[in-house]
Amino acid sequence: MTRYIIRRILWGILLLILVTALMFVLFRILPAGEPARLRAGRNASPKVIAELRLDLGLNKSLPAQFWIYMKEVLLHFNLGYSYYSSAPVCGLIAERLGATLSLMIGAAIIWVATGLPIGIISALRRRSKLDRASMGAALVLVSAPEYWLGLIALYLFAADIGKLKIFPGAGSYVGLTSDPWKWLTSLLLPWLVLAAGSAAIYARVMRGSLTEVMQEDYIRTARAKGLSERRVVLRHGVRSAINPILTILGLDIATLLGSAILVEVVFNIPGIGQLAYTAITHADFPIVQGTVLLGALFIVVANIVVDIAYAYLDPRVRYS
Amino acid sequence: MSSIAEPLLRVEDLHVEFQTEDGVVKAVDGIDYEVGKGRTLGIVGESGSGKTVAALTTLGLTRAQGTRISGRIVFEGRDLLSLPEVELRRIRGNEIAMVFQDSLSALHPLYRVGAQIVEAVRAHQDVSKAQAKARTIELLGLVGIPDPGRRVDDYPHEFSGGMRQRAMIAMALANEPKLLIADEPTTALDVTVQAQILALLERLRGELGMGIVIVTHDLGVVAEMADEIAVMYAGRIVETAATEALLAGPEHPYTWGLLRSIPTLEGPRVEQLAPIPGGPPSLIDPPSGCHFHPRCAYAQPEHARIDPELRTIPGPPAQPAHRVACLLEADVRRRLWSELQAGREPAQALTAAGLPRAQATDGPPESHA
Amino acid sequence: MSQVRKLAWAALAGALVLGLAACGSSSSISGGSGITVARGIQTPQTETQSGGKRGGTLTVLDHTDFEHIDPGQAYYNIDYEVIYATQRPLFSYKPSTFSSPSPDMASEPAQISPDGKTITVHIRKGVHFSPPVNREVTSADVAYAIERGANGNVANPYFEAYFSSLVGAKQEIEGEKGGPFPGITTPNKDTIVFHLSEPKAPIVLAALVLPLSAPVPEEFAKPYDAKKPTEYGNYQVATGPYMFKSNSAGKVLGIGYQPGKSATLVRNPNWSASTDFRPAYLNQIDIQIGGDPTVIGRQVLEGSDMVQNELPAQSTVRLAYEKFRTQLEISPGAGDHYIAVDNKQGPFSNIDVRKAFWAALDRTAMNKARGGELVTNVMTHFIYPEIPGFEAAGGLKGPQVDYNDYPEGNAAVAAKYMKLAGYPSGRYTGGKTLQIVGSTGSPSSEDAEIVNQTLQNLGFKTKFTLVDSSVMYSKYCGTPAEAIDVCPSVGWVADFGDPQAVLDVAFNGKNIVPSGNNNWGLVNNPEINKAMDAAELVVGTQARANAWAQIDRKLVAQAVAIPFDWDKQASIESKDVLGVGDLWNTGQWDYNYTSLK
Repeated sequence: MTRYIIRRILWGILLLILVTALMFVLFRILPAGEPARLRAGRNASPKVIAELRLDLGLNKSLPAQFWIYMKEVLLHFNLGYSYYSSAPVCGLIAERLGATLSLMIGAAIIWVATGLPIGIISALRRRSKLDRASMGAALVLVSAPEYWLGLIALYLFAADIGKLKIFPGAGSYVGLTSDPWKWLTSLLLPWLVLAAGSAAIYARVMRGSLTEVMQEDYIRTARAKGLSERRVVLRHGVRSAINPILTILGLDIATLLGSAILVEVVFNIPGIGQLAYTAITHADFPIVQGTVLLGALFIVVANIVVDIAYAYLDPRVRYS
Repeated sequence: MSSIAEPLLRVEDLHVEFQTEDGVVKAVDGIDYEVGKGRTLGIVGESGSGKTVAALTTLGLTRAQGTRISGRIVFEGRDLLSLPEVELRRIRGNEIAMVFQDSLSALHPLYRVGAQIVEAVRAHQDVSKAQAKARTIELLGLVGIPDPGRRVDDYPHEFSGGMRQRAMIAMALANEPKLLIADEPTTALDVTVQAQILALLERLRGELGMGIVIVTHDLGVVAEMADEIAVMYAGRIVETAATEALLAGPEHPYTWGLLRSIPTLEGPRVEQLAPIPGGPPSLIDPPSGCHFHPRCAYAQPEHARIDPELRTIPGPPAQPAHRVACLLEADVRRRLWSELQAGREPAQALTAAGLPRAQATDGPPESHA
Repeated sequence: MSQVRKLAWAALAGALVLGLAACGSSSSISGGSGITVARGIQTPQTETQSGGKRGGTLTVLDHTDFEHIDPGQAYYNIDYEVIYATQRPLFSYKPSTFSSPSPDMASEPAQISPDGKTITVHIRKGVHFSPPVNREVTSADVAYAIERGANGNVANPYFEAYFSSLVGAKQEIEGEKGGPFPGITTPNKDTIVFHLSEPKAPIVLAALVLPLSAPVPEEFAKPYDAKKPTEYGNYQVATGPYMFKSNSAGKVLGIGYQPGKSATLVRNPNWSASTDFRPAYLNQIDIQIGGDPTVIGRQVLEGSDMVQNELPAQSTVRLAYEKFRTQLEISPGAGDHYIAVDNKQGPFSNIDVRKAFWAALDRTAMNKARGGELVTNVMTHFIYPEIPGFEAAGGLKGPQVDYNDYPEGNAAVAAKYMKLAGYPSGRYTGGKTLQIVGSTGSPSSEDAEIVNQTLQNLGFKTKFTLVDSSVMYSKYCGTPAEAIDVCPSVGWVADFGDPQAVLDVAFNGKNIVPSGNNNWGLVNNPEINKAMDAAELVVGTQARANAWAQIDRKLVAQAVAIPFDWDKQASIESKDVLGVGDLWNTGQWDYNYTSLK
């Protein structure tokens, strides 16, 4: 088992290096490229541009630049400096990480807490009104783009511009440490928006998974033992049905970073997503590179954690 | 009656019908049987005969939307079919326990075996986890699993097939049931292990005084163990008798087929197995008249119109009664059987018994998909 | 230079844009002073400046961040909203004018020597820097402010354009050190003198409204200016009524300015109202950065004590026009949009082809995509409203030539010019495929489509590409070697209210450079070049207006580019805000004059 984990970690590191290399190449060859020119800005003289190329190390060969970048990242955690504000990318990411994690983890909790029970009930009461209604709503929510959903949510429920003034409006986020209550209320609507689509997916997956599991022989055995139906469903049914869910969950949380970008923009939450969005529109490559690397790291870690968790959850897997 | 005293379990006129897209499936079409205390009943039939459904229905495990159940299943004076779910749960795993066929799929793959047995214990006994675990280890020892203190923490897939089946039996015995229903308990096992499991069941029955119902397609299994045998076909019992009586003098052509299709160590080696031609009939739209007639080598034209009832055979009264559902005359049947036993083919036996060869249908029916 | 402000606009225009239907035709009244004003909507000229209450905090919602808050680096409109509240250049504009600057750090109008080579400015007494510098401002501070523009670490984008005629400036630009040079002298602490090597005093004087001339204390700033790039902006001191909130050491970054998040302006305790014409009603300005433009629009219109200080989404402007008209301001003279065509090579090197294109284009349709008559005027020549020379160059209707007389396009006139160009059928029959590079994003992309269609209707084959606007400028349209035939998404905003700032860089042949070029059409007409060089030296607002107006007419006669839109920019405020917008800054709200009710 330990060897397996170590192997996975090594593969993960290799993957991160590959992702960084790919981005490196992309940024240098894309038409919007020419970082020196972008940094120099409007009407810069060729002299200034040349000097900047020197400063940014752009006159070195691509592999050399890549090597320097990787050295900085691995040895000093230095992800470079923003082309615009010259602020260190690492610092920018670090100070915004809290907001994004608040958003992501809260959303994950909500969608698991709502999606799974709905899925379980739907599985047990197939074709009932509740089942049909929840699956129908699920279809709509899964298809809705987050940005649109966020705007609709604000226009319906925001205290400043909404029809029903329930939740704080866009821009009201504060850090957990400065005002816990305001932090919580400002995140409710973004959480719901971010969780809506996923809750729907998880409900559907759970419904399918549990329906299948309830046909298994061991469910019949459990009933034959005289266990209460609740125990049969939860301890025997859901316990099996939840395995595929947990594997998706790990991966979903990792890719959540991407969905979080648009939600952060709409609700004006000062997180990494908003940072990435602004950096992309500005072609501020060091920041974009840093956030992509962070996203890749999330996914690699999530993959490994999920693999380990799965082995823990399903004893049959351990020997393979 | 198997004894003057009230039987442990009495099934009366049980009907179980399932609503499906293709129509109503009459899985169990009116059966009666009994199990006495400390007695073993074997229910034999091929797949689709309704034997498993009957067994599951005893524990109320076939209750669902679209299922119609009628009749009575009387256990210790109470009709199980009329009990609410809450009451039935008290009986399941407690007074009546069930052992299933495929122990690998019948046990939860993600929980340790010991934990599953502990769960069975604590479902009906108010004991601590430690006490339940101790009981579990005791049970594992009882069913002959070596080193039970260590094996109690293993997962189902870490057991061999035979050990796993023993563990399932241990789980069923956790609360000292009065009646044990075993659905194909040995089918997934190889022959030597089969014998061990059957011996185990026999021993336990003796030690615990349980009644046992064994449901199987293998007549050889119940030949050893059962006190009585009921043969099921197309949702009905077509013959029932004490084991010796059935084996010595089977009355129904289907039973003959079953007996002749068992490979035995005795008997001439040149003797070919004689399988029963054709496949099980449709339970949605069963054959008219005697449901067996399309596959019966001895069927007569009127057998396609008349549905035989289960009747006691003529002869000295027996305990339990030997009953059969067949339209042939009793002496004709006996003649046919002695011919078959002498090694003759069905066709020859027919002639010898003086029956016309006419078949109600052209050859054996296709098995229904 | 200012075309890059267009860049900021293009980015700000945002993804969620709904076209304003021109069915709001009731919105236009033309004529009068030459300014089209939508009925019942305030403009910087009509806004009341007498103010509401003293005090209070104004909340500003901006969905994009500042680019530079260092006065030596500031370039975009959005930066100016804070720069002009915290810094005092030598001269500056009051809100309702774009042509006559008032002395600001200067105590009186400048004196120009008869030979046009010396400008003398007297510094106002009694103006102090904000904490922690605190001391009185002297001429040396103004000198340092301008000198640092040549410092490579500051790299002011205007220094070379407008101050290279100062003696020794060129060497400064080469050296990039930003130290003192002969072109600027300070005989005493109240006087600063500019020495020019050429008689270009008018344009240099006009350029002194730029933030570059706002005083910077050398002893405080020098260590920051030694960093690459300079960090002075993060530690800056103020001379205006307001300053960025800072700590006792003067640090602004992280306190008064959190990049990407917020900025806070508080009163400058060392500002003295008696030294300034600004009323400065507000106590504090809280700027929140980020969010979605349409959400911001609704928050401002429905909330209180708020303004949006960037170009609002078109849907917001429509909403404001329909439901919150008193909270809407539309400012004329916010710049222009036109189509650059390659004058040097290819089909458009032929003047008649250019005229044909001008005649064929439906300028009204182009403007409809931009929001219609509420926020646009049909552009008919090249100096735009509010800039001196606009009227003399033809005003709204422009020079009356047939290719200019039909805002909706005229196929017959177009055909006529194609025939004159040598295509008897009235359609292009040559072999060249036109390279058209426009900008992505609404409404530039829609306008580019119309251009593409118009040219195809004239018989051209086109290779039509849309790219990100920064790429369009830096890689394609701004690089002569790429020889792009048509650049439909270019435009101009003048750096200050002088017609030279509108016409010279864009249309003077000597300003063509191999990269970062702003004379996108590669216009190089010797007669016009000569006229521009002469007009550069003309002294006096009226005289300059006339001189450049003549040049404008020549440009129209040569059809050097195809104009279509004179922009009017909209701004919105909450119901309890008495906003005052700056005509000279595309109507953006001026914190020095805005108050709460």
